[in-house]
Amino acid sequence: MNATHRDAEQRYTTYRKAVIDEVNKDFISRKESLYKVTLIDNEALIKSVRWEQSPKRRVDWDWINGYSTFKFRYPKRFEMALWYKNKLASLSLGRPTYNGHSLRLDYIEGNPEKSENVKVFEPTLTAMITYAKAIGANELRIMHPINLTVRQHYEGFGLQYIANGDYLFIKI
Amino acid sequence: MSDKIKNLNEQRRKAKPQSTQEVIKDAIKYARQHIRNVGAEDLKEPEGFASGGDMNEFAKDPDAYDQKEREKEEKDDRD
Repeated sequence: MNATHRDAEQRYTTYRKAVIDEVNKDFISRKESLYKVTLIDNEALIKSVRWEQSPKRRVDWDWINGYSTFKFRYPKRFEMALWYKNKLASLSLGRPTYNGHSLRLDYIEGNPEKSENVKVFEPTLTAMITYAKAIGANELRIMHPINLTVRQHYEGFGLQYIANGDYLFIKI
Repeated sequence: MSDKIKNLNEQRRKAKPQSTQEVIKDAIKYARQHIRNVGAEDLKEPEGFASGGDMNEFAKDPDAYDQKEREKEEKDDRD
């Protein structure tokens, strides 16, 4: 890692932590303190390995390897681990587009065994909007919805589908 | 204070750049308001919720994967 890369990693980690802190304060103010968000750490990655045993899982992602590669490559990334009652509820990873105007959500996975009343996209969207504004992006993109049901869920949050690039976007 | 001075002070206040902390606080409020406005607070989430590209392919050859994503972004006529 060269000095420029290291500086960017440190600078954007400051933004990421500030967003995480504010989202946690927001949970408390809305009396949703059973939720908590953190950066993706070893504890979250180790807990994600358990998802491999779930028959409800829709993807076969290796988060330990995937996160490590993503982290090294994208110092400006968005990352978040969401917890509910101290259980890992979701992991998400994204990055700014090359022109810097948009923040992409490249990967999001909810704990396949989470109960249906635990929401993962709503807090992720809140954190993404916040991080995007902090880094000067004016659009969010949710890349590659895995099926129509998931796509329609995003559309319920006001995102618009672009078939050509297989993503949804919203101006912020 | 004259109206002219009041107006000048107001303009200076508006022109003052926000700190990152202020931007973040405002952004959270904006996000919550947006979710309320579109009526998404009570949306039921699909089971086995996941979304994204091929993480394992990315991890295997990040240069090739990244190149493909960059080309897609460059071809995107919305940009």
